[in-house]
Amino acid sequence: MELAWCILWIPFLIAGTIFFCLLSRPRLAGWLSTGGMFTCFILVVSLLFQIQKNAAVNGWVLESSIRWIILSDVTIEFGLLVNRLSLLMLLIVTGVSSLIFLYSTSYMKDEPGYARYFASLSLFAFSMLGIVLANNLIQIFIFWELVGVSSYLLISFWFEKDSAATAGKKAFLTTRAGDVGMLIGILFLFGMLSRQGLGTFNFLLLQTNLPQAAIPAGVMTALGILLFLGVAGKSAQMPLHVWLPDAMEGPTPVSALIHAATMVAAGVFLLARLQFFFVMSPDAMHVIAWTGGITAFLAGSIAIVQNDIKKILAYSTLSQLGYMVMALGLDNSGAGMFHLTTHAFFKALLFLGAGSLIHAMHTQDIWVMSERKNIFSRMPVTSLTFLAATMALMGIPFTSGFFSKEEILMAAHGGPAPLFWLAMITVFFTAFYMGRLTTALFLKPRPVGEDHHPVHESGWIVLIPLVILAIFSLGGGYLPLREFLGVHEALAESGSFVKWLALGCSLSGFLLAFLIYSVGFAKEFTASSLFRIPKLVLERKYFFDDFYDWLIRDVQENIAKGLDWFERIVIVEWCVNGTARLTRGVGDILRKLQTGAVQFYALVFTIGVTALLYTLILVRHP
Amino acid sequence: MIPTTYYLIVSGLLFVIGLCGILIRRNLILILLSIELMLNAANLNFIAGSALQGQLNGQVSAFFVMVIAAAEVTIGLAIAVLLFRKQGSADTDKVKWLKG
Repeated sequence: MELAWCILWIPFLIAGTIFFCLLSRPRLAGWLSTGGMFTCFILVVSLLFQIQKNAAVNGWVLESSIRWIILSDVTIEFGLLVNRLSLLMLLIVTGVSSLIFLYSTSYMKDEPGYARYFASLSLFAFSMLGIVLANNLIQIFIFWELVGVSSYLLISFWFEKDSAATAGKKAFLTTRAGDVGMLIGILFLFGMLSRQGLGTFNFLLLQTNLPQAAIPAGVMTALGILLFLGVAGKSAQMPLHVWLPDAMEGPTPVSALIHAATMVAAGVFLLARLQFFFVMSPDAMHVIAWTGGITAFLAGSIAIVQNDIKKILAYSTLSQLGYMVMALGLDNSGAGMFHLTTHAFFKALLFLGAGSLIHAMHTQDIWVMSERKNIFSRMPVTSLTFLAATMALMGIPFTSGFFSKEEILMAAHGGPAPLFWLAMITVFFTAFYMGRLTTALFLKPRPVGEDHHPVHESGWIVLIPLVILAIFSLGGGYLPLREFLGVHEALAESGSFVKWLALGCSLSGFLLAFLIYSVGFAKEFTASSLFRIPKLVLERKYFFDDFYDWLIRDVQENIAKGLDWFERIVIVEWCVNGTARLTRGVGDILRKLQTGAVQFYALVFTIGVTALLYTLILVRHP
Repeated sequence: MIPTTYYLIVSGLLFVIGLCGILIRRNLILILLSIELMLNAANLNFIAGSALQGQLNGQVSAFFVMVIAAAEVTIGLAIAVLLFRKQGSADTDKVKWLKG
């Protein structure tokens, strides 16, 4: 377990060192944090082997903790819990992070905030590892917030740019909205349990205590939904998804790391970690599954009309996260975690590839990119790896995405029929928007010749992570993940039906996109008024942003104005100043009585006492 | 034996005389004397009551009142001296510094 403690604290120490000592030595800071991340990865691998070797004796679940906050009736621990789930997440987080750190050392090299960037990245890695390793709810919540902070720092990395600063704020506040629900849920759960003497935050104890506690079904549903709110914030599920596309204002490697591969996976991870808790409330599970399915569908459809390459990938991420959440809502954590793993590979690869393309062409608009010539022949590594990731995302057979998506679709097949068809249509959407993107980048015919400034391939430090990730995107399906997570292979009859249907959807989506955007197939039809309304709806992203805009600008602003009026007029003017004025007025009248002549006071006093005595006597003896 | 009512009447008279003195006289020394008069009226009441009930607590209270009267005279005379030094007379009509 010492290894696990090291894994947690190394990135933190590096972040601290950079923040306090190395801000003026950017090169050193970059290599230090990259080296630290690779060290972490190696430590995780050795931890895996160590646990595997001793599995026969110690089992797969290891816990190590210290008592951190000791109160009279509750003790909060600070500890690590390592099991198969967290080992897998550790591998993903440290593995993908190492590659992205390496990529960043080259990609960000001309940035003035280079050292700050790596310090924030290390801080992020620390927080994420904290979530993965935490052994109790309070600790996971603390690291959950830390992830929010570091994500804020990285999204608004270019803080002098207005849009980036706003996007960072939006991400921070939107996820916070979910986190409030989560905190309430955690405390509520603790309260319900401690009433029966079973109160604990520890995951393993919760697992044994929960079934013993008699919690009413309604309360259980409320608890499940409250905790799911945190998940929905962090994993960008509808309706709290609006921050993720805006978060693309950050540097591209950050989008790859945080908003594709790891941070957004935190919510899915929490669902998997607390699966024993969520399965106790079938209603909450329904909500989770439907939220996931609808998010997958909506985000997939929005991605179709986006023109910014990073936005397309962002909505694609939303859509795939929806898949994972849906699988977990259908009580199939294996499928969800499997897809999380493969998705981490190919989506990180897509973002890093997009970064390389953006670097070469200085634009994010895919239609501007589509006018550049010889992209494929001049940037062969980037293009090939990008295509590999595209295939994995579409679920082309034998790539990693094929296996994991199949698991998810199988899970959906066992669930409600509408959910299954929603997921299936999303497969079509996925293929369609990726087909559109690929067509614009590589397949769209363009005049023969050379550009004025031909595009050029990125350096080898950028390409190495791309190649490694491409290998995993293509071959990730053959990793022994299903055995590791204990997922049973999707089966027989319905299995092949789902498989063929998904493949058909995928290929037809890609083909249709190719035909429409390359050779102008059905041009009159797509330009017709029949298409205007759905297109408008998609371009406005189902009006989510407009709705929030209205909510904040009109509703909240007016409520605030009303409260401001109430505060200034009623409270300050009437209550506070009014009291002062009343006191002063009364004082002005009463001061006349203060003549300063002592004997006058004595006279008044005498009259008063006499009157009082008479009254008393009259009352006693009328 | 003299009935208790007589004592009470004398005490009441003393009290009213003292009160009138406080309200009417302008000299601080005389006001202090009037206060003494009122205190002694109260003392007379205590003792009359004590004699009527055949108990000692009334007389004990009278002693307390005497002690308080002594303390009060001490402070009162000190004030009178200071007042006299400050304005050359002990006339209370001139003391209106606390007028609101």
